[in-house]
Amino acid sequence: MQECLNSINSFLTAPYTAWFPITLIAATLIIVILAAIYLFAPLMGREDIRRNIGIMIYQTLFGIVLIMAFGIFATWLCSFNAESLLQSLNLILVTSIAPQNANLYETAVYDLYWFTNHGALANANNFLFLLYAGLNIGPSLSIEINFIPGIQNLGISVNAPFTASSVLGSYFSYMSQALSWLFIINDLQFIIISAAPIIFAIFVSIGLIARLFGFSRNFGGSLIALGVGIGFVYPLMVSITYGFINVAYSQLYNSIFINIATSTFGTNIQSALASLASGSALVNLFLSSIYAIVNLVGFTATASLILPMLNFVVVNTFVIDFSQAFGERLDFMSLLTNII
Amino acid sequence: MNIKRINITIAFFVALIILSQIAGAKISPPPPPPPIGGIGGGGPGNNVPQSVGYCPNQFSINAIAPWYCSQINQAAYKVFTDWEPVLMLAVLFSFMIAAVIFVAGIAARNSKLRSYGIGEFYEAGASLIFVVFFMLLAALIFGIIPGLYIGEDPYNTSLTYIYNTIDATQGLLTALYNPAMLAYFYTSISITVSTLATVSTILGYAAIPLEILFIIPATALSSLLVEGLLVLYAEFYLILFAMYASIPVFLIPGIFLRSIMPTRSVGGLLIGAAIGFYFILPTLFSIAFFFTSKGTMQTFIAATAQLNSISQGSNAITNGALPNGQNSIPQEIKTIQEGMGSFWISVIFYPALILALTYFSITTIADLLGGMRPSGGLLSRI
Repeated sequence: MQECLNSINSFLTAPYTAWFPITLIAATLIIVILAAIYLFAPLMGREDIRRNIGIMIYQTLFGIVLIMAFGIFATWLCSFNAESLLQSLNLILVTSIAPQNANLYETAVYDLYWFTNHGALANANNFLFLLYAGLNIGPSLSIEINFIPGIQNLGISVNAPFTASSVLGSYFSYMSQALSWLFIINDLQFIIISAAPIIFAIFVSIGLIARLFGFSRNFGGSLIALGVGIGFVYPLMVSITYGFINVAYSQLYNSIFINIATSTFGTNIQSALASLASGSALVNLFLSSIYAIVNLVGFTATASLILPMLNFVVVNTFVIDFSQAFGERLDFMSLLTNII
Repeated sequence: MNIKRINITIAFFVALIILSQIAGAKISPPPPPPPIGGIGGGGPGNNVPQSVGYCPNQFSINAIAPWYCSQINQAAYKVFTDWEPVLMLAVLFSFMIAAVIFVAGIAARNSKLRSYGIGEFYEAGASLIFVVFFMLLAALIFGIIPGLYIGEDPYNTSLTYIYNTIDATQGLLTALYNPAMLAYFYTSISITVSTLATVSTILGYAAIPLEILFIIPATALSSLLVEGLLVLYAEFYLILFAMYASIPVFLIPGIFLRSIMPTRSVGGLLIGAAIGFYFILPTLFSIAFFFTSKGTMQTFIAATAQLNSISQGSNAITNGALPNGQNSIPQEIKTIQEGMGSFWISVIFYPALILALTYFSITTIADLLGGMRPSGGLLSRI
């Protein structure tokens, strides 16, 4: 919470401290000027100007109300104990590194960090590497008999450079590459989540100030929408969706090794001895490990591809709607798509 | 007079909700129907910590998805009943906002604000209708209301079909992998006679037919099967995610957000996503796999049995080098490759189509709920 408040202090309260009096003075000046025009407009016989000026005064006053409202919202956001709420709903995984009484940002960062570095993505990557290494350890048979002792390249040699990865080896390298892409997608999200409080603070504070002035009202409204979308809605979606996925994964993880052991040795001592004696244990171990990895990668792919897409669509819709309400329509996903 | 009539209608709705809550608390859940087989049945046992699980203690845990119950109907029922009170609170919240605007309009004697409040009542009513529709549909499918239960739910059906397809694919892959590995081992053996001047490879050429006829097609087919497995697992987890996440992640926040005017569209989108993911996605998967998986599974199971019978021990080498005939492994691989068309249709083509249809349904419902009355520009004009 303290870090969040520091961030807000640096980027929201500090600009507020610096800008708030200026904004208030500017707003007061604007209101005074508008009021003067409002008073003199009937003398010039311009009732239409009078009506427009009245609306502009309301807009400026509404801008000041918005500044105060978002100041309260920002303070609440940093002090709100999202971790306890999500834990009560089974939407956060309790581990030794889980933050205690964390706010929304800390919870979202933890969920994404755990998924990438300790959870499904990290384990899929590590286990895939282990499996690949394990499959590459094969019987490398090599016998060489020289016809004349001491003279090389004159004799007979038998060589069998065989490994268990021969059949599916190429596929595992493909899977490994796919996982690397998932890491990139997650790191991208991690950057956005890490920057969320700063984005919220900067965009919303600048947007609120810009919204005071008539010429920058639409721009200000769009900035507020973008700030709230990325700074509030996105961390909220990440903490809910990835929290759910982490909880689900922790239980999948518990069963992976049990399933491999069961498939390799069976469920009783007789089947374990029989599989060891016949050598089928080794082949079963390879195959059950491969199936476990495919299962894990399938889970990781769903979590890493579907969730970011869903989260971005929700945030984008929120930004479109909110920006329409407060200013100019802003569709940042379309903008990004066009740029790409 | 009109206002009074609306107030009476709203009071009636609210009373209905409260009554249904009270009645819901008294009605006990329906007796559990037996699972339709395939999925579940034991697994690693109830050793998963229940504090983080979704499966109540009295149900056994699924083998393939350990946080999931074998009794899928009960699990879906539990998810729904756990979140139902919050769902109703969300609806009441939207009515409360409308009431506040309406009362403010009366207090300020502002007819526009009052009319706007009435409009918000209609919007809250629309949210309520969708929630009631959602509940009714869930009642029909999962048996939330006794007497309206119609049988198998789409989660049970789709997950069972997918799991059975996974099982058949893994069986075929195992039957293919074992002889291919053995053949690979034989072909990797090379006996070289070296002299000072020349080096001749003896067995290298002998292994070429086995490599061309059996190992290369088997490797390609194995890779394709693993790829199909990966997609099947992804689909399996997508359906599970839809079941568990639709209500808490999409429906409830959707109703809350729909109550507030600037976030009405995103609320509509979330409600649309909830309906699309909760009902349409698993139902379409059930239908698609109902028509496709049987043929695929029969082909795979028959091919597995055939491969197991003709590739035992050293037969993997002798039959692997046979170009055709009853015991020819290359011939069997060709048969499997011919059946891969229906496999890809059920695993990739239909799911892609289903995802597109789900997306279309989500956007249509979102348009209906959030896009009919544009909220844009209202606050900017204040």
